[in-house]
Amino acid sequence: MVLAVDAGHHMKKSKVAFYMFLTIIGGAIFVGSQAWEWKNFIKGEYGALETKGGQILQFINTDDKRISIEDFALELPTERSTHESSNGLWFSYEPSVTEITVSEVKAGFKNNEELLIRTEKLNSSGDKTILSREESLSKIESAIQVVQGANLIHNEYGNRLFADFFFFITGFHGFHVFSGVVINIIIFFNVLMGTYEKRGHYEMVEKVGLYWHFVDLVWVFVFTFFYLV
Amino acid sequence: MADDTHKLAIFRGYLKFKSNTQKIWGVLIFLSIVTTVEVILGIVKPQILMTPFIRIKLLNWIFIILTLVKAYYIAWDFMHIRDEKSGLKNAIVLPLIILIPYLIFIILLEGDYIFNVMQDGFVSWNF
Repeated sequence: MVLAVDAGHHMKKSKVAFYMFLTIIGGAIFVGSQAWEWKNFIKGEYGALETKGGQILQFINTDDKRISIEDFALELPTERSTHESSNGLWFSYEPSVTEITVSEVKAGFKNNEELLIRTEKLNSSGDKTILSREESLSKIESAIQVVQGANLIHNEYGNRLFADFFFFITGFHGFHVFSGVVINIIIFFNVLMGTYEKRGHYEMVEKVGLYWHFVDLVWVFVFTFFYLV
Repeated sequence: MADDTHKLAIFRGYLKFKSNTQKIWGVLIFLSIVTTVEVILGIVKPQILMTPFIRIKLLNWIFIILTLVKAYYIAWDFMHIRDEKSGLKNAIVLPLIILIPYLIFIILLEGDYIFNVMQDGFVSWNF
């Protein structure tokens, strides 16, 4: 982007167009990878249980690695199905019922001796607390819901507040990148049609460049505080 | 900018570039190196850096400082603040110097309050 601005100062039309094009490609790659990342987070990987207090219980095996609830949950015969408007007078919306029920996870957990529960609570060294087998067995009784994936209400990866912040901040940033790409495309075609050549200066490219780099500046902070720290 | 001159030296004159294009590439390479270092540190997480320093882990201090370094070079070179007159420079930078610490203060205070409510509040968060 800066290179396009610089080429604009020297009135080099083809160079401005080329660097604008590269910027658009880069922006599209960014938005694309973010969409992929969101898809993975929303779908979830391991699944977890949520307690009455909204706390997340994750399951780990002996190597301290998270294990998917699908891998150990027992299949129990169940008759629970999604509540539909055709089945009741007082219908209120119900999201689709998770395929694995709480009791299936509980039964599977009791069967597997080496499984432990990891809670959200951080210990003194800043890691998530891992409960002993006995503590885990009593803790799992307070679970009321299966959580798979992350959204604004539930989050299998940890505290739901973090999911809220994550989707809120990266969503707004991603939207700004998207609008930046759209503006870049408009400017790109204006460059191709020679609008700025006729105007005698490329200041519009510079203005979009400032917007683009401001969004970039925001990303530097988002990256640090959401991905590194 | 008013005229077409660029200040071509970065690192306080330690590194000088022949043209503005070269300087842009140089800054881009520098930013990429800093980001790579951050990502490697984030993956390796050296044990020495996990000790807390002023309530934050040393590693996170490094991340925050490197982020500020990156932010400086993006604003100074990509948003060409380096080439502006000092009046405009101060008009942009001074409000940020005042407002950002203020925002950090408010967020930390508020976050600490919420943490304490969860930790010792009448309704325990861990049930």
